[in-house]
Amino acid sequence: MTLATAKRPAGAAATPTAAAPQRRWRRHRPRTFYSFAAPWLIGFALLTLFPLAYAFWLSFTNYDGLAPKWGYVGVQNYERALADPKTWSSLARTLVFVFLLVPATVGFGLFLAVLVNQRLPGRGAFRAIFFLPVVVPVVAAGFVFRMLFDRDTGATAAVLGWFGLGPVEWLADDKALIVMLLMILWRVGSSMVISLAALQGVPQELLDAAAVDGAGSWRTFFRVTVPIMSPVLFFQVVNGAIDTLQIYLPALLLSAAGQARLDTVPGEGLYIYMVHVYTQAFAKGDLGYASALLWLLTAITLIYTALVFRFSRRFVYYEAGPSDEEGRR
Amino acid sequence: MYDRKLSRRRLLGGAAALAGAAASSSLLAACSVGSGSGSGGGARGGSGTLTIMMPPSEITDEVIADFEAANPDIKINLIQFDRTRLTAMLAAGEPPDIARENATYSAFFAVRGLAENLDPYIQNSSVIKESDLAGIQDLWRFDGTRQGQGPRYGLTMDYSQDAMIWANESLFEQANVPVPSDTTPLAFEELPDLARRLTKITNDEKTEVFGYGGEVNLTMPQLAHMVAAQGGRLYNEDFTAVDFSSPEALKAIQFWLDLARANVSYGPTRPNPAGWDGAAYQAGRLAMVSYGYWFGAGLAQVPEIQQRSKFLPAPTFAGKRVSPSYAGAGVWIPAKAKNKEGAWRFIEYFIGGEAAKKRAEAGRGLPPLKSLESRLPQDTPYQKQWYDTQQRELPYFDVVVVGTPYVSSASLISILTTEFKSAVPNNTSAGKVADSLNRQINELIAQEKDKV
Repeated sequence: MTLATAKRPAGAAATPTAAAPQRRWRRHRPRTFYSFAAPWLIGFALLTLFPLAYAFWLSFTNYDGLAPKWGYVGVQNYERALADPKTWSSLARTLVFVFLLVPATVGFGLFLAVLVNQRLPGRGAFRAIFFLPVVVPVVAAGFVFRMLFDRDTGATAAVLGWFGLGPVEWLADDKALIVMLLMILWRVGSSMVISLAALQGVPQELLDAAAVDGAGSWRTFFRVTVPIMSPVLFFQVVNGAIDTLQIYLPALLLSAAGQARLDTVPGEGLYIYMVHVYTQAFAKGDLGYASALLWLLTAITLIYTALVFRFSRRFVYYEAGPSDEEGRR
Repeated sequence: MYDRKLSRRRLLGGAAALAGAAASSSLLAACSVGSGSGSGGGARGGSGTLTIMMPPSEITDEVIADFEAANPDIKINLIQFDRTRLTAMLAAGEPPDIARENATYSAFFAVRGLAENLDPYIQNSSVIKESDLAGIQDLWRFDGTRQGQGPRYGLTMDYSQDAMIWANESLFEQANVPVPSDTTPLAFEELPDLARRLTKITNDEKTEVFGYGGEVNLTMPQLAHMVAAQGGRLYNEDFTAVDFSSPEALKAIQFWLDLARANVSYGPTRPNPAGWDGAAYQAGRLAMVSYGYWFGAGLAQVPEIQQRSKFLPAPTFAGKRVSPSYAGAGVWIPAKAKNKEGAWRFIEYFIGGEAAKKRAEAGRGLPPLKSLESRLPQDTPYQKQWYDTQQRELPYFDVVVVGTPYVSSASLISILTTEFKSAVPNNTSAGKVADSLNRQINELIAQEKDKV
């Protein structure tokens, strides 16, 4: 290798022979992109778009999967859904659950992330311990929580007994919602891991600069760390709300002792929106009506996501957002 | 450049939106029934693959191995019983060759033309004879309108008279309550008070022993039984309407409401953490449990409870003594099954062959054929007591229709349970419960009947 070829001046034009393959590559680039993306796109079309469209069609029918005579019923399922008091009561219960659970999960996950980010002996073990519940199957968790909160023999009954308090029927009425909240919060480890990754991505020089400027640890955390982490926290809020809107398995497991049977009927406390959908789809076999309910939920989810994104500009800090880039152009 | 367009904001936003869309679509997709795996084989004479959809607990590896050894031209493909998957397979026209169902709700499949008429198979069988079939097998009959008449669309593998009662004699002694007679049935009216006397509550208000267990709930089999025991009926002649407002039905509903409110059992306001009351009985926390003969085999895990368990006849109302089955688990052949002959060969083995004999000898319920009844275990004193009580109870078996062909069992369970869970804590009267049930179920029947 000669010195001339090894030290080509920066910005020098490529020779015609070197540029030709690059041009050829550019010509093929879209084709290459679609070739690599095709498996995912085909899967998306077959396993997502088609079922979505099929479920949309079903929402205008009285299909139940078994009856020989079924057909188009227009918007009857949607009218029925909007007139069904259980739709509204279960949706209200679900929204309350979202507003309680999402901030609690993100906040508690952040708190744990800050704790296990400290330079302390054994922090690896603590990270593992906090994350461990996430790998416990949700069926097992449901069974354990039923046992823990049993009125007569549960551990909570024993703890209440130490304070002279009588037994509480945790698994009936609205109190069951508290048990479900705790059961899901118990699995806060995944939120902790995401927040921990974001926490470790905060540039040290910014923290040093804040310290030089005399900022205390609280001020640094809230004025430097949290704003830099805000896109990750925002991601968790958006995803957490979408996930929570669709929760149903913990409710069924808490109602049926680890066996989410088709005919499981949770009490009113656990009758959240997706349980309503599940009951209609699988217990009653009314797939058309259940599809309509799901499309209503999809609409609510999309509206929520759009609103959150619209307002996120006020509290989410992006180091180099699109507007900044456009300004630089 | 690609990397300029893919800012962090876009990445996070896109990921969140995609997650939302994907999650929603997966749920929506759950509602759209796809095709399941079909059965294989299908050669003449039944050879090839035989797809059976049943819980592995009911068709064990030993059963499969024995059958395949005796029928080397058939290979069994066992798939876990899953009603959603069964629906998907039936909808796709690719059903299993054999599926499971309770006799009580078998007309649901028959009225939709989904089940094979088994009468021709029975007529040509040298193993299963019409005259040898136990009374429960009449629940598989359906004539297009009425259950209990017409051709059979399935066969029960074993069953019980499910309103019978198991009494833990030790807990009766501890409560100084005499154990009821095993020759004279209790009256339903006596049960709440008896349960109250057996229930033991500690000083800190915890329940140490419940007096009664089973299924403290409104269920169609229990209600239909209690109505039939008073000489009434729940459905009209063609099963297109239900009436819970009759005096007989109101009395039955009131019984369950009173029992649930008496705090003598698990129930809607006292959920059982284990999910079923059998576990509490086995743990010595339940003095009486209303289960059929099958429960005795399950007591083998706890010998001290097993030996002190007395089997009692089903309670009755003043009137006709009836002791029906609430389930009668069995098998049926879907009309579009690929290997019907192979399926029948398996049913012969399972209902009338070695498998049935072994189940009878293990005491896992009453056998499907009368000729197998003598094989029920009688080796120990307690097994003898159970057997004798069962023999005295058998003459009172009757076919009590619990469902309408037009509505699925899961729908009825869902409506009844939801109503009960709301009625018990809110002190709703039996009349209001009956009105609500009439409205909901009759609306559902009207809606579903048009689709059949």
